[in-house]
Amino acid sequence: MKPYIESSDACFPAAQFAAPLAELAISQGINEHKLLKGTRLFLQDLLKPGKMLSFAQIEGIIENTKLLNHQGDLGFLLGEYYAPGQTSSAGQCLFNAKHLGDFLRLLNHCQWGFFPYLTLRKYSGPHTTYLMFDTSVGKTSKQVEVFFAEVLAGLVSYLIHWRFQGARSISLLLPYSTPVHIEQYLGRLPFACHFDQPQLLICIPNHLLHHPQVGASAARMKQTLHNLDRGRPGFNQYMMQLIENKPRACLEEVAQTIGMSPSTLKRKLKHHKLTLMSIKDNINKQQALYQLMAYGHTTETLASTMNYSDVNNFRRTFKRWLGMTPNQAKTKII
Amino acid sequence: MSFLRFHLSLWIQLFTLLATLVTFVCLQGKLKPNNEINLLDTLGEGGLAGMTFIWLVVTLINRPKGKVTLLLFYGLTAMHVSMLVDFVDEFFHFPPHSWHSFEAFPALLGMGMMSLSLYFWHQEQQAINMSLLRKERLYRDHEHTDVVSGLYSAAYLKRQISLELNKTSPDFSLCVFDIKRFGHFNQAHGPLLANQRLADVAQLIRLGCRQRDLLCRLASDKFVLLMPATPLSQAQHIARDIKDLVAQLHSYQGDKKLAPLKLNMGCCHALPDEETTTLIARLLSTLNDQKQQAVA
Repeated sequence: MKPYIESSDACFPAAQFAAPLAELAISQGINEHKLLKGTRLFLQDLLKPGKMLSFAQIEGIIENTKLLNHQGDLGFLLGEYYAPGQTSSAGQCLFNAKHLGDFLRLLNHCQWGFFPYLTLRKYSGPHTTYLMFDTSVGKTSKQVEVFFAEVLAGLVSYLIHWRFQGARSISLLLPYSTPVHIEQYLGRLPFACHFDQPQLLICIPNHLLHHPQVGASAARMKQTLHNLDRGRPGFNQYMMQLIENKPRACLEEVAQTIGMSPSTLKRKLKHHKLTLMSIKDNINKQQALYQLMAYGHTTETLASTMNYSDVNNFRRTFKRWLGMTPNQAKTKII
Repeated sequence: MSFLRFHLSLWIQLFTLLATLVTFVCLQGKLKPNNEINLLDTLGEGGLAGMTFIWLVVTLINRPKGKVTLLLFYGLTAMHVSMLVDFVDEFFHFPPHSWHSFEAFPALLGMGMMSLSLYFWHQEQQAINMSLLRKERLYRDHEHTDVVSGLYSAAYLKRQISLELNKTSPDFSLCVFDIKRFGHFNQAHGPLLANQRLADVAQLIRLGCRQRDLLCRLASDKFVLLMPATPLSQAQHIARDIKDLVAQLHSYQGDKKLAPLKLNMGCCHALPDEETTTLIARLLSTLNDQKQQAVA
């Protein structure tokens, strides 16, 4: 079996994401045939017990949803209803984490069972913890990216309301400009949102990490952790892990590590709208962003931390990663 | 209610076009002698042109502004142009192979536009059937109907707020309502009953507001009431009355009586030169302040 999931692999339970989304969409008056157009699915398929979907099918449903949901509220609604519907070991394990810090620690183990669509990288700064998100399987369209960000926002909103009551001082950074349906963000979310940011990211002040979770049981958490299905990472997530361990590896070396020919790897990357360079850039972008946000380094210090000897060269590369210079990023992001 | 006065720009466009067309035809053509004019043809073609003009007038009287009306208007105008040219050529000679040979094309284009407008009209009618309690102001756009509450959604509200803000001296108030402990209700009873609750609240708030006010659903359990030409004190008074009205509702799930409905409210008055999004953010912040004060 492949150690990763590709976009065409039917590995995602329909009951976890697509079926609740379809139910919500239909309750909002969206036509089920239009919702499932182009996915080779019928509503009955989604409701079949044990039905698995590919990431490509889920993307198709999301794209149709974005097109048909003029109010832009379905992502948030799905996020709000998502967590209570997670009866898997992963969900139970997370909802019995002692406090927020424990919850984040367990997310590394439970991501597959709980929310396999996004991959999470945690960076701990002196005052703040940063959670950076990417789609786990491959690069998606902007619409799908926005939808996942809205589901995440709804999910976090649920957690703040019900599990970590009062932990409102977190903030959500969104990698797109202020949407037309901004009122959904203003009216639904109990925390601050910032648009036009270089990365989908949640900032959590460190003092909140000890915020207790309502109704948690350590015994249940241990029991469910023991029975956990760790699953497989998505293709993008797998490649990121691989390149993080071998940052200077070329395409041939990476292909050899995975056990496939360079041309096959190239084809797979292209199929997932990725390149080796884009994955490396993404990892570097997140690290530079973390250094900048956590420590507020000058461009020179930042360049040296990121192992660049030439500051001008670093400035140019930084601009390629984040779409802005380090000084612009400092004023805009921090 | 006649929508005639809302279509001034369309009337101007129509009469300008017709005047230009008639002038152009008179300048280009050569008047036929009386014995060459076929009376029956003239009567028939004149009747067709007259009928399309009547349809145009009826459309503008009966339809509010919106996409369907625009398509109907331009479609009928294009048809009317063809009919009018056909009618006028009973009185004029035109040089062979001139522009006159294309007289049927506007009608074809117009019929295409009319077909498209009928498609959108069908969709609009479906939305209207689903939300009989909807309230609207000046502009109709079925794409912005909120199916759950039967009201217009935030997009429509923002458009109306922008229209009010664009006036030389904006004078209107906004009130936002949200349902106390709606999150608990939602988690306890699920989305279907929660949606029913939202529809009930929407109906009750509508009962309590005035004819000229506009109620829309903003997001989640938040409803916004736009009150034109209303000072803040009056708006707050009306909002408190609505809050009291909603508190009297008793709803049931089967035979089980549900917890009484209570609303939070916040009101604000528009400031000159304020942006729509800023105003909505200020309104929501007023609501949050009120909620925090209530908790304290």
